[in-house]
This record gives sequence, structure tokens and C-alpha cells, in this order.
Amino acid sequence: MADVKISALPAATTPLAGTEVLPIVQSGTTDQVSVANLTAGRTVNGAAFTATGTVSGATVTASGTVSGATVSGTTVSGTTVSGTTVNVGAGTVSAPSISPTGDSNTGIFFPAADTIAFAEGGAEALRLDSTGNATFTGTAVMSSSFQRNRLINGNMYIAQRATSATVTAGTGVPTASTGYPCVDRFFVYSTGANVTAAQVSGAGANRNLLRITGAASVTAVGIGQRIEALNSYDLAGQTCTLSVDLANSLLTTVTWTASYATTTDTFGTIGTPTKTQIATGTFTVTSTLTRYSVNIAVPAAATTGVEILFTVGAQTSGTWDVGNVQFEPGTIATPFERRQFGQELALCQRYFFKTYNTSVAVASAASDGVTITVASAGGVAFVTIPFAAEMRAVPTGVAYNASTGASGTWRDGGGTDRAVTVFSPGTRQVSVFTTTAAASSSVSGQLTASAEL
Amino acid sequence: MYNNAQYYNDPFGNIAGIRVDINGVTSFVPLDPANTDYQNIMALVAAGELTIAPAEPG
Repeated sequence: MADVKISALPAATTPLAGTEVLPIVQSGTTDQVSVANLTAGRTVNGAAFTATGTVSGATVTASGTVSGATVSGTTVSGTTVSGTTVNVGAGTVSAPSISPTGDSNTGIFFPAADTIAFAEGGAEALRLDSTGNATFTGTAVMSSSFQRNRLINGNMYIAQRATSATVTAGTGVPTASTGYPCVDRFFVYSTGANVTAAQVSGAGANRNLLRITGAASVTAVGIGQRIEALNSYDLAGQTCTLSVDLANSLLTTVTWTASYATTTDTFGTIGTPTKTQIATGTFTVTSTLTRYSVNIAVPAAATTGVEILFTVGAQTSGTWDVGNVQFEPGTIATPFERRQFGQELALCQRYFFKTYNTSVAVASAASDGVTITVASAGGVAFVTIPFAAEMRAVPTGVAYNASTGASGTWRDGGGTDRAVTVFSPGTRQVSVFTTTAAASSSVSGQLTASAEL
Repeated sequence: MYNNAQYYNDPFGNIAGIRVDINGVTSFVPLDPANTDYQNIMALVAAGELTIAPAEPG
């Protein structure tokens, strides 16, 4: 062949077949080598390597990027290793299959089928088994603690006042002792006409529901709970999630509204509110109980207590069911947090206390109450009752006659009703006293104490 | 909602709170600004819509 510059040669057909040959100098002799043999059996190093097919080898190393449709090797490393799918071996706890450079006993490995595990320093730290269970070797630290639900009695378990009651139409509620007709901690109001609020049995995850039964001329109904500042101040500045089970046999829209108190724990009444709206929106509901959730950005100023309110319009008939209400920090609606009955009751007793058995409605004629023993006629005779839990504020007290259920009197041993006075010196105890009883008699009755917001 | 309000004394003769009928229920409201019944009663008094009678001597 005449001398021809390489640049003057015709271009080869690409991609190369691998059988083409090139001249090389090997041990002082000029030999030929096929393209296929040019790198066969040799390590390829480079700042970056890109292939449209397979990159494989005992070791594939680059200081830059290694990429390809398939990149495989006993060890594949690089600043970036990428692909549509990166398949690795199962690895072991001491040599995880995915690990950072310089720390080969820390990373991800796959100890069994459908199982993912994480190793730290050659020891297993976390395993996700084939059914989604997570097992931590150490402690699971969440963005907030367990007891995520800031609402109390969200599953409507506790109904100390009554399991069913008439809600008198009006917007002068709620107060410490009014507007809480049925299940604990949830106030209910209506406008236009009275409605009925009742704790009813649910199904499945809803042991109980709060049910509003509508009536002609009703223009609006609201169900809400006020979270005192002590239990909500840390939510300020966070995104929280409200979730609830709802059904309505008549209406298709339930409006939710979150607000915070203008001053600490002082929200006013529905008619005269002293609160600032955080956010509002609607859920489109059906007659089938369904769970709904929404994220709510709680502003930094909301350190004074938070109110969650659900409202509907003209519930002129039919029923509206509410259950498993949860308000929690974070953007995920986690499953409803179920507390023990006793725990839930204790939480409720910070806001409402009674001497009746839990299952006995307030104002019932029930003789399981408290007795004053009167030592001398004309003197002051009293009994002091410690609250089950420290109450939120000094409560409004009501004495009920155990024989008639009427308020204001207790009955003595001779069958005479005696006027009694309820005196709450603080948030931990209450006294009931009388000055009218005869000597050597006893006076008995029931008591409630309310410190709702 | 609030009717027949009257201050009442504790067993030692000190004013302890307000005896008042709330929706027809004889109730004893403490003089605690954090008690929302007390807040409402004071608002009604300020608005001239409720008068609290003095406590009976004793």
C-alpha cells in the first residue's frame, strides 16, 4: 500500500464487529490485534465510561460515571453508577451489597426473599420483612412521639354526660358546662331547630360513632373539639393532618374548619367567637362511612389552642355520623390511634368529672353518689371530693339529687331534700356543703364538675 | 341561658363563686377567668344583660 495518511483512509463501518485488526508493538515486534482482543481480560479504568450495551467485569471502576443498559460486576463503583435497573447480589450483614466507599460493612443487603435489611458496622440495624413489618434493633424516633392524636375521645368511646341528648338550637355554646350534650370533649350546636346527638354503635374499626339526627327547619349543625394550648402549642408552624370517618344520609358536603384561639384557650362561643381561622375546606360525603383526610398548615401564631369544627347545612332529616377523628402532626394520615378505654376516660376527666358511675347519665336518679355525715344541726357539714384528674380550670359544679335527678339539692336520710352548695377551691378537688341538715343525719347526692373550653 | 345569678360564700364566709341557673340547672361557677362560664357571665354583666346579686350574709 502506498503511503497514505490515516486521516485520508476511508472510514470504517460502525459499530465494529470486533474482528477488525490494529497494529501494535509488543516486546519490540509489530503485531496485529483484533479490536475484540484489545481490552479483553483487562481492567478498564477511566473518568467515565458509557455503553449502549453491557458493561461487565470482575471490577468496573471509574472516577466519574459508569453507565449502560446493564452494568454488572463483582464490584461496581464510581461517583455515579446508574441504570434503568441496578441488580446487585444479596450481600450479607458484614458485606452489604450496596455500601458507601470506604465503609463496606454498612449498607443495604437482602437476607431472604422479599426482605430488605440495613447493616451498620457489620450489625443488622433494621429489617423489613416480606409482609411489611419493620424490626428495629434500636429505638424508632419519629418526628413526633406516639400519642399522635391531639383530639381526645376521637373514637367517641366516652359519653359521661349521656349517650343521647337533645341539642337545643342556639349559638351561645360551647362553655365550660354547656354545649357538650353527649360524647365527651365534642361540642355540638344547631341552628334553626333542635337536633339529637347520640353515641351509636358502629362497625369494624368504628366501635362508636357520634350521630346527629336531623329535624325539620334545621339550618346548620356543627360538631367540634377545642384542643387546649398545653396540648397543641407545639403544632404551631407545622403541617398537620386531620382525618375523620364521615357519612351523611341526606347531605353530601361536610365543611371542616380549623381555628386558633385569640387568647390562650379562649375561643368564645359559636355566636360570639374569639378565634382566628387557620383553614377551611369541604369533604364530599355519601351515606357510606368513609375516611377523609386533609393537610392543614398551622401558623406559627397558633400557640393558643386549636379548634377543629365540622359543619353541615340544613340537616332537615336523616343522620350524620362522625367517628375516629384524628388531628396529628405531619403530612401523613396515619391509622386512627386507639387508646385504652381507661386512658381515654382519664383524658376526658380533665374536662368533665362526675361522681356517677361512668355508664350512668348525669341527672339520673342514681344512689351511687357521695354522702355527707352531719355531726351537728345548724353547723356547716361538708364533704370534699378529689377529682380523678387535675381539671383544666376551676370547674363549674352542679349537685344532683340522687333520688330525683334534680339539681341543687341532696336528700337526707329522712327523705328531705336539702339545699347544698358546691365549692371548688381549685382544680384538684371540690367540696359540697350544707347548713340545713339535722344532727346525726346523712345527706347524699351526686356531683359534676365541668371545665370545658 | 344564665339566670338568677348570685354570689355565694364558701364555708368560711368568703365569696366563692356565682350560683346561677344555666339552662335551668343550678350551677356553681367559680371566680376563675379560665372558666368559660365565668367568662360568659362577666361578658353578660358588662353588656348589662345580667346582674349578680350579692351573697347572702352568713
